[in-house]
Amino acid sequence: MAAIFAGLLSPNALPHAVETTGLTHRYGPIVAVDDVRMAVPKGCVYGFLGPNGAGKTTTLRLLLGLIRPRAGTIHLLGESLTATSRAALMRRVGALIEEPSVYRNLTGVENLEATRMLRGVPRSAVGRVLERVGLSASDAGRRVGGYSQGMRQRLGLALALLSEPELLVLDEPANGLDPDGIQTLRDVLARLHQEGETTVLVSSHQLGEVERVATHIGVMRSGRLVRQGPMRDLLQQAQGNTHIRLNDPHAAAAALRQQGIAATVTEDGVLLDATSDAETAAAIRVVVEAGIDVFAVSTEAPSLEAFFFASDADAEPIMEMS
Amino acid sequence: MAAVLTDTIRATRSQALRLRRSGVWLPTIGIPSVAIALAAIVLWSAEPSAVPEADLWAEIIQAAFGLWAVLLLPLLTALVAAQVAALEHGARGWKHLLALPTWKGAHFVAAWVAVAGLTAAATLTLATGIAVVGTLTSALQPLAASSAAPLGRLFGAAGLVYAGSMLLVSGHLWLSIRWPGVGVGLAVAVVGVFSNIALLNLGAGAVTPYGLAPSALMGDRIDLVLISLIGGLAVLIGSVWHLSRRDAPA
Repeated sequence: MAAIFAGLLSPNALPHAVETTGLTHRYGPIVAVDDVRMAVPKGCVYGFLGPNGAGKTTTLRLLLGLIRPRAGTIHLLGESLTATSRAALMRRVGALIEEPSVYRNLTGVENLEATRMLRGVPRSAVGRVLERVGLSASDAGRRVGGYSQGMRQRLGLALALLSEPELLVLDEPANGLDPDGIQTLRDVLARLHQEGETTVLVSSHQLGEVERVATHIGVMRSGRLVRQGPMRDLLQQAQGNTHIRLNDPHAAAAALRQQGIAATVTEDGVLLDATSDAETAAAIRVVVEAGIDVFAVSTEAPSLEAFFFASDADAEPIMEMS
Repeated sequence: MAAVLTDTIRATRSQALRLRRSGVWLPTIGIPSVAIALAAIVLWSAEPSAVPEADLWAEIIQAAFGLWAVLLLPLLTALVAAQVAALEHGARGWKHLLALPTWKGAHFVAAWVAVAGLTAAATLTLATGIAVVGTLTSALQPLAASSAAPLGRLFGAAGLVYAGSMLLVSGHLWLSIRWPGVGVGLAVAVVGVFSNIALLNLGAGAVTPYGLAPSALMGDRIDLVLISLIGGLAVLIGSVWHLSRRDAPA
């Protein structure tokens, strides 16, 4: 019985691969990361979104112990990240931060060897990760100075995967990748998620890619984490545009505008921006009362892009971590 | 402690691999060649009747190692330290290395081992080069030194100068990691070298770190070598402490 309670109380029993409280970092007077409370469930693919300068990379650098927080705590894989625990924790973490750190004077294999030596993992790991990221033996035997940006990015991903990490932190991994490379990245992330052994925290500007692979998302704006939760739940809260197909789009738009409802004329109807059910009903009533025939009403599925742009920096943070 | 040692050995092996095909070997071979060429000129232009052979070898060792200790070694140290550090600065490697599961200081110690090792290689190249040039010259030019090269004196001088450069090795490595690029390190080396020449001409002796190796060579001063070794170790420890604590460069 005591063992069960000890297990429950142990930090390893926490369900999150990454958990921060009050995480704050400043560069001089500029607050780059402001009181961030991040929770990344184990086994998920967490899409970390935000415009340039939002604080994503600084947050990832804090999680890897590359910079020290001015305030707040970080727990990775159930352990508190401190100066003394960092090295042991990083055995379980792989990372690709910004541009891949590769040595142009070395071949792809030698780059992997240099990191393999430092990590103390077996030689067989090199072949395994090369296969996983789709770098051929002939490419891996060439000097990295002659690599394309996409090949360097694949090599960077291979470096991050060398130790079969429990937590994989990727910062803009799709940068410079060609369609084949993006497909490979997508496959790698999907396989890691299916295998369930690895939690992936991936920051990206490519909302479409994140939407394809992520199970959870967090949105940073101006140093604050303003939205966080399972993607499905968050997108359900977001409202899609409503299209009303009718016989006189211009008259309908004029009638709606008179009632203060914004509408855009389309070829066969009007488009209402992100309306609730009540607003949609009110708009239909206005159109019908104006003597216009309504043929069909459809609502677009909310997209991650729409959700992202609706996430306001001034909004109170919404955390939905189920 | 065992983990620190293991990490340092791993980091040093990885550092050695990262030096492969890098430009850091050019000054290691090129700069000693200048002093070897000077030794060859001294040998070829020597008048054997005017100087006994033992004095001729002493003259060669003094001229080549004097030039080496006063001018070439500080420049070599600055260049090699900048190039070893540039491997990481150029590849944006610090953020990668410092996120690995190793003691952070291991990477800086490994870089120091690399710079110290390359400086040793250059100094050995110089000593070996002088011995080879001396032997070849005596075969081709009977009027030059006909006795065998005094290897003990040659490598003794090399060891003295090398040990006298340890403070420079540690100092220049710290400068090069702290400030990327060759500019800061080289500027400090040039100022150090010429201020040291001025001070030596004034008879002030080893006042700056740049004066330790030349003064040790000229006066067989073991105390100066000890100052360099202890100072080099202290600067290494201080720089490892400082560089491990600061935020990793972007």
